[in-house]
Amino acid sequence: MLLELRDYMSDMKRCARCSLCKWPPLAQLKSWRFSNMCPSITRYNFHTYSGGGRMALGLALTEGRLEDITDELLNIVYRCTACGACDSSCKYNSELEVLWPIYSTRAYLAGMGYFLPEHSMIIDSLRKEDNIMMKPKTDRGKWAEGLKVKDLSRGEKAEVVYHAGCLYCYDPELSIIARETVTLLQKAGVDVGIRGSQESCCGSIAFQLGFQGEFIKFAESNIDDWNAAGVSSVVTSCACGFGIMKSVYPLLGKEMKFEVLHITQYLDRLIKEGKIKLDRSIKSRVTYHDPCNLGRKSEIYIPWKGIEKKVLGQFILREPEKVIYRGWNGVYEPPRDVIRSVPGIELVEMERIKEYSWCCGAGAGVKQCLDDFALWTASERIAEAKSVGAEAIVTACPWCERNFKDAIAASGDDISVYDVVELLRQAM
Amino acid sequence: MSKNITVLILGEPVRGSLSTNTREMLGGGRELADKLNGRLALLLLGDKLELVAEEAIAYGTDDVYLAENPQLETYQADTYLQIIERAVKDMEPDILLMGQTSIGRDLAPRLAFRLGTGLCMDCVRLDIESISGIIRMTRPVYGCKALAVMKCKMKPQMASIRPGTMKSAELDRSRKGQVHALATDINMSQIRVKVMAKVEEQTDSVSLEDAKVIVCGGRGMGSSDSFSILEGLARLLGGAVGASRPPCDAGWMPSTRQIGLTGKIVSPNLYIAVAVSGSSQHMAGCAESHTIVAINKDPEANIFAMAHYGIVGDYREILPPFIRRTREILEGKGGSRCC
Amino acid sequence: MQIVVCIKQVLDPEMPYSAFKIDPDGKRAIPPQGTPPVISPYDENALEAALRVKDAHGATVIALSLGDRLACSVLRKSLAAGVDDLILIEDPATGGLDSFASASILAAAIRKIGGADVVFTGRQAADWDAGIAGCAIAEELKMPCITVARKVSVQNGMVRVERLLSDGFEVVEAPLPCVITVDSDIGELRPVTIQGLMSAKKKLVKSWKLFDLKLESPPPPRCELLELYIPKHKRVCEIISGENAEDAAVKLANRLFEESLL
Repeated sequence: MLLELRDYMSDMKRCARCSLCKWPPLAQLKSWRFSNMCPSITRYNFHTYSGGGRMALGLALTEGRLEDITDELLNIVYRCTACGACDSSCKYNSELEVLWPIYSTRAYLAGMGYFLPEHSMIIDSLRKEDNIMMKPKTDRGKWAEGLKVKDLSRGEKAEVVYHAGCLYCYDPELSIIARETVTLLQKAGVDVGIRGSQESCCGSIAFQLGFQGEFIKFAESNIDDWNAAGVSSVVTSCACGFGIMKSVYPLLGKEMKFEVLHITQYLDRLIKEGKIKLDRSIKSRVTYHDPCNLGRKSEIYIPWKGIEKKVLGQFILREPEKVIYRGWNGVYEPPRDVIRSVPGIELVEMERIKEYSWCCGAGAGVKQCLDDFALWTASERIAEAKSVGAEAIVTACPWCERNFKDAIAASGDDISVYDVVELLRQAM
Repeated sequence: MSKNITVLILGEPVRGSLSTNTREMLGGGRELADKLNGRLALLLLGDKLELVAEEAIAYGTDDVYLAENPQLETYQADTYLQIIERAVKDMEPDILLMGQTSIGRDLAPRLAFRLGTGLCMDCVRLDIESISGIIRMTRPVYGCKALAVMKCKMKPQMASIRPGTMKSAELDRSRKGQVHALATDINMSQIRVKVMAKVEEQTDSVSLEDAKVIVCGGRGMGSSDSFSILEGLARLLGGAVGASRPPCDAGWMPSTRQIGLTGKIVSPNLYIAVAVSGSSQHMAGCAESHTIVAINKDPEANIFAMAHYGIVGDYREILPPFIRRTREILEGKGGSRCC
Repeated sequence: MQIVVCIKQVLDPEMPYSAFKIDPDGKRAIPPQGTPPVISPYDENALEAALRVKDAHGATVIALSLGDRLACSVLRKSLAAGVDDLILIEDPATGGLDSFASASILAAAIRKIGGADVVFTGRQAADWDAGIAGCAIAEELKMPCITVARKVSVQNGMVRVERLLSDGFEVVEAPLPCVITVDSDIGELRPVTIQGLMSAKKKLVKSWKLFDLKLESPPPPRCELLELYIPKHKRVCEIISGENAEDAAVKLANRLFEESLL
């Protein structure tokens, strides 16, 4: 099993309540307005909502000090997008794992049968219909109707399989982007195929909600399907999917005979090889929003296991040495390179970017269960984009796009949201 | 009055002879009775059971008790319970066995309740713990993922035996035994459930229990149409088509085709599992097959831990060439099939 | 009409294999982290059967659950599906119960709520797979019991049930009150809606102890559990591989022919 709360006890005990988890790395702070890092504590303003607070919560659960699991406790646990900002900020100072104890706390509670009612609906939908959108499985291939693309579920073979992801398959407004992506890849001469209605969820939401049993089943099934199809690369548009495939799928111990790439990485490669020609100019000032799952959460993560020794009464030495994953090796430059390659584009950076980027607010079930929290978090990000004078936010994840679009519709703002692929199509 | 009956078996007569499961229980019961120096008795309910009784004696029964009455031809819980309860209280056996069958599942819990004794359902193994006659009963639990070993503190120690787990006795017509008649007066006021009709499933293929070859489809088949390729393969091999539980729940196949813990327990010569993950509930139904062949895309599917031969891959790519080659082989042999 | 459905909370029978572990000393399965317990699948079918009778005749449906460490969010699914009341019977003494003891406690609870016209439950629970409790409850309450039902209809104080046989089915009739154990053929539990779950959250769930049922202690188990273990598989599978699927398939057919299996 991947998530075991007891494994993180020593880390949870060492949280010194320095509160760095609540802010970006101090050297990167640029203004008071955008000085927060954790949407959860910024909105609810109570220590338990921050990364350090969640460590204390996990510790209390493991030590048996919290016997009565109340609804308020569950609300605290689930008012968090598991964005990993606290994890990344903490590691500037200490070497504690913060994100995985958060996942493990959720797994611990789920194992005892504690979860929000919306979660049981999501998980039921996953078990019965192989997607988290609570839509029928048979409709999964509908987004590709009319597209002349190879269907791997019918036995056709391709080099690259495009994994659209639940949101692109079922959201009519966003499915167009998936269609554009496939057309773009085909135009660039890529031998691409899709799995149509046989595609199933990547399992990332199940994992982030703590339902690791379901996650393991879906992850193993996907790996088997892709191995059996004999593809050399899996390209996905969904950043959540990409993050989980890169960081958690390898931990299952199954051989993955393929490379996992995000669409922006693949497009960057194609542009640099000259296979995509961008001839139309787009005069616009845009900013790029780093999705958490594409950035800091897509690093390959290997849980550390070994012996800890205390030296001189205070220094911790680890045998073998623990590699700290700070989020620095996420996918940051490829999407920016792709945007910059569009003629006429002016790319400006927001204040909180790369591994200290502010979450869009849609992850880990928050979009489905706590929409007001998701929309507020998105509005904060939109304010940040406007503060640097951007006319549009470009992002690389359907969940970010969906959340931003909903927030803009709710507030009536005049800023636009584009996916990287949409931008490229406009430039062709 | 102790009749010194160590093992009493509730048998099921089927079309004028003993059911396979009853013969198996007689084999197992005979062993137990011998080890405990006691007598083996068989209780049969039905009508015109004289020949069945003779068969039972040939299979090793010391005492056959017959409750003959036309009313008992069809199983009905209230009537059967009255007669069996009376008989068991009179005979006071140490061990009472019945089959984990349609009748056994319905009868055993209520009988155990009325006798005030414990019950171990779906036993796969009985071992004698001590010469005092206490037996250790092993049964699968958690959907057959684990085994539990239990013993009963009261008498009679009751167990329902899973078909295919005991070895049938040898038929020996020279054996001697006694046949006793039981009173069959039934208190009609105690009969509350009335059987109105019986509907047999229409099937033109071989029944799963008798089939020497079974082709079974699982959840990975994907739809009801995909079962037609399995039907083609089954026809070619002269066998039957079965399904694990998910296709039955999804309505792709009728429940009478379900193989597993709550479906049929089968033991064919050749069992071909296509797109079946091999969950323990399903394996409970087919683990006794002579040879299991598995086709599944997941190299770590549980089915491969239980199969003798396997191919990892998509059944849609594997089955058509397999069927073609099989047809070639069978036709090359002049069309004869040695199943 | 008052209908009672006995539902049991069990470890998820569909948990991944790697998650299933046994504690040999405690002789129990260890609840895995990240896989919540569920309502036993056949008991969900029983809920559906009860709700269909409610739809047709407007009965009150009460769900009863007996166990230790019951998870409310899991069992509330019954309320969300349309059950009127949920009663939990939780007591530290209900740790090591056998089917007969559970049945006697559930029967005492059914008597306490004023009896039932029909008691529905699943044909067997997904943990112990015994299939005893339903019939034992019927015996405790002195009601007739119809097992493995695949279709139930109620009319004029009688119930008409189609029950599964190994080669088809039979149609039986019995007077009410009676106990019916159901098979999955009867139909899947209707999907729960988010509104259902929200309104279920607001409902008060009663929680009883053995003391409330006027039972000092549960009846002792009739059978003693000696051992619980995961058996080891010794079989080694011969994996047939080839250059491609077709090649492997042909090799398999040849191999089976060699072994005189075709």
